[in-house]
Amino acid sequence: MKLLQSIALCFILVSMTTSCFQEANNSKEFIINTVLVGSGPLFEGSNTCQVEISSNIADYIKENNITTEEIVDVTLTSASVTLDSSSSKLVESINLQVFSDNFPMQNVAFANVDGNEKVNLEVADVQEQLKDILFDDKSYIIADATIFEDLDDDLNLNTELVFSINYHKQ
Amino acid sequence: MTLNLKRLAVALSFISFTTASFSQIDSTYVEEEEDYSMYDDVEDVGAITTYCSPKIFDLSPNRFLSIGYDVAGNGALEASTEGAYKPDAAVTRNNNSDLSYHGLRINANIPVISESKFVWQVGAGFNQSRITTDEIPNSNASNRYALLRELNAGLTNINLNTTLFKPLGEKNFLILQLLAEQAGNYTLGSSTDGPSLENTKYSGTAIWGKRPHDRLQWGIGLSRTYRAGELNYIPVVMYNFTAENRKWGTEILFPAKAFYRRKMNARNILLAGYELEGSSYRLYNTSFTSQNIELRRSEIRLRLDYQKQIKGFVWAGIQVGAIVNYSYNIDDLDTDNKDFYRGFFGDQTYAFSNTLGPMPYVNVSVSLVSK
Amino acid sequence: MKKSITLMGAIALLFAISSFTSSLVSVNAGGDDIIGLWEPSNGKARVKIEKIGSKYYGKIVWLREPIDPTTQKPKVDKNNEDAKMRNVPLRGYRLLKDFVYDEESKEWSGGTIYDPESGSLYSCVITMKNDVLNIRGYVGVKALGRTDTWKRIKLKKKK
Repeated sequence: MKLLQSIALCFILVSMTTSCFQEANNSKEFIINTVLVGSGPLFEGSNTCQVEISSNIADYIKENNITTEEIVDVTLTSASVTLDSSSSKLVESINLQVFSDNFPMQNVAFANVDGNEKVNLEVADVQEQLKDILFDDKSYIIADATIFEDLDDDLNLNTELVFSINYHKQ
Repeated sequence: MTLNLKRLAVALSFISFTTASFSQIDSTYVEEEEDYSMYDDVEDVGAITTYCSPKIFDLSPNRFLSIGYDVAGNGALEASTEGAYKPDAAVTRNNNSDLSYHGLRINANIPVISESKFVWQVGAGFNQSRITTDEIPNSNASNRYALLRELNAGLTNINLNTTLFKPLGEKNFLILQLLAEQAGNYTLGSSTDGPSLENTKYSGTAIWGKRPHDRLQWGIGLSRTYRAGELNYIPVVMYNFTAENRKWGTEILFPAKAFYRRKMNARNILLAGYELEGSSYRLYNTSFTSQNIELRRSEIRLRLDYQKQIKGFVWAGIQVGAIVNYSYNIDDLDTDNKDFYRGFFGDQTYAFSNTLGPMPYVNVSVSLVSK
Repeated sequence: MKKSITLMGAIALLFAISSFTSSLVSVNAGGDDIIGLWEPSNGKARVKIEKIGSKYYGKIVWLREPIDPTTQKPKVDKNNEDAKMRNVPLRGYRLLKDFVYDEESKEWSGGTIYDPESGSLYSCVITMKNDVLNIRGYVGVKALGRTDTWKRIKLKKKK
């Protein structure tokens, strides 16, 4: 009897432990479309644009019947920036970072523009705490755009970030 | 009066609204853009001196804590009988055995003060050699096996060390290293066979050097050292260099060690070279003429040393190489158990004149580092 | 009429006082002392420290040797452990991230400092005295680290 009780206790402990580390078996796409504006005049070199995200990710998961406890992680799967034709010749590179008031800044994507209007950024392999950042009260996107020469006008970065919400559903 | 109050309120409102809006971020906030070229032209407000760094580009990582295991064997030990042998004398050695050893190595180096103008580190080390030799008959009367029995007890080396780095401006520096060690066949914690303070060996190195640029650091100095197995005073030359392509370099503290470094990337380094390791080990309460004797142990470790980042600041290392013995002789101590100085030119006799053949070795370690 | 003007004036004045007071409260005078341009002790770079949201960040705005001698191109973050981030230019790179000012201890803590030479990210704490910053980067605990001193610099006034 004691042996059975011990086995049962071990089973319960193992189940509890593994439930904390369950792998995702579902995912849902979550897209943020926003415009990062650098107000001119801008100067040759790195210029910063930032925006506070109204991510409404909490509402989104509610609509899709996902609870925060079910979410295993959130990863950025793609990032793209669309420039107008004049900007595409001026912008050398774009480095995207996200952060929030309570979680650290992460480099999430980068690309050399190479004259293209639609720029698909290379998404970082190392992604940490994106879930925490998006769910935090205030989150921000920073784009460090390096430009070849001075620019009198504004620089508009139409940015689309596609996240994957990876969750475990019983 | 009322009208003035209203004007004042409006004025204050304007100022405060402007101030308040700059203290928050709204969804359209953008950072003030700037001309980067303006940062070329600056003037100082602070007043601090620039000091040279203790490192150059791409040196192998500085280890705060390192735990490793060392295995070496089999070396052919040819030992003489107890006698009195001049250093260069022809000796008949009949007591032969295969010898190998293995043991734990733990080292710690903690910065006490680590600033631009002064670096002070203290450290400690533990180095164990569990020696195994050929099977020894039980007969205690046989002198032939007496030495092997003593060696089979194993050897331990513990040390405390400190390093001071003092930059002298942007290009020059001073290094001072001090070491106090206990080496022997003692048993830690034992009241009768434990280490004795009077047997502590003291070593030190002082170097004056130059760091002309970020890829070169050289120096000359003097060292009091037991690395050759007994006390010696020798000049030292330091030469740490990294090539312009950042792919290779050297890490040299001659004659103690010299390595060629190959950097695959920031997280994988290969070193090839040698290191001279040694100390004078006190063998306590032996069955020989003088009960306490000194084993003058020194070896040249030729090796390939591969170091790799595991995660964050944790690195693993593996060394593979060959040990070439430099000294395995033994001295009698006089009646008051005091060590003596022979140096390179003394002709005091050895009690045992031994040779130890080359042997392969492997060392694996895990370290907490800073780059 | 006179009475309504008095009332309006009083309301406007109250609004002004509360706005002004709240703006003072929301500006962290002690923490904001770190904002500005700084130079590390080796003189190789200049870093601009700014506040974004409630935290402080430092960006490289100038490099003494901006060109990589091996590539003859502007230096990039070639030692980053993430291979996809190795082309990010160093000029404009955020070296210092996520510092929060602690009023009690008078230090900026909880942040990190990145070393582009090794691709290593260190925990970091900053203190300031008389226009000199002590930047301590460490591994795990503060004892396992190194302090560098940065001096404040300012741009030369254009004539």
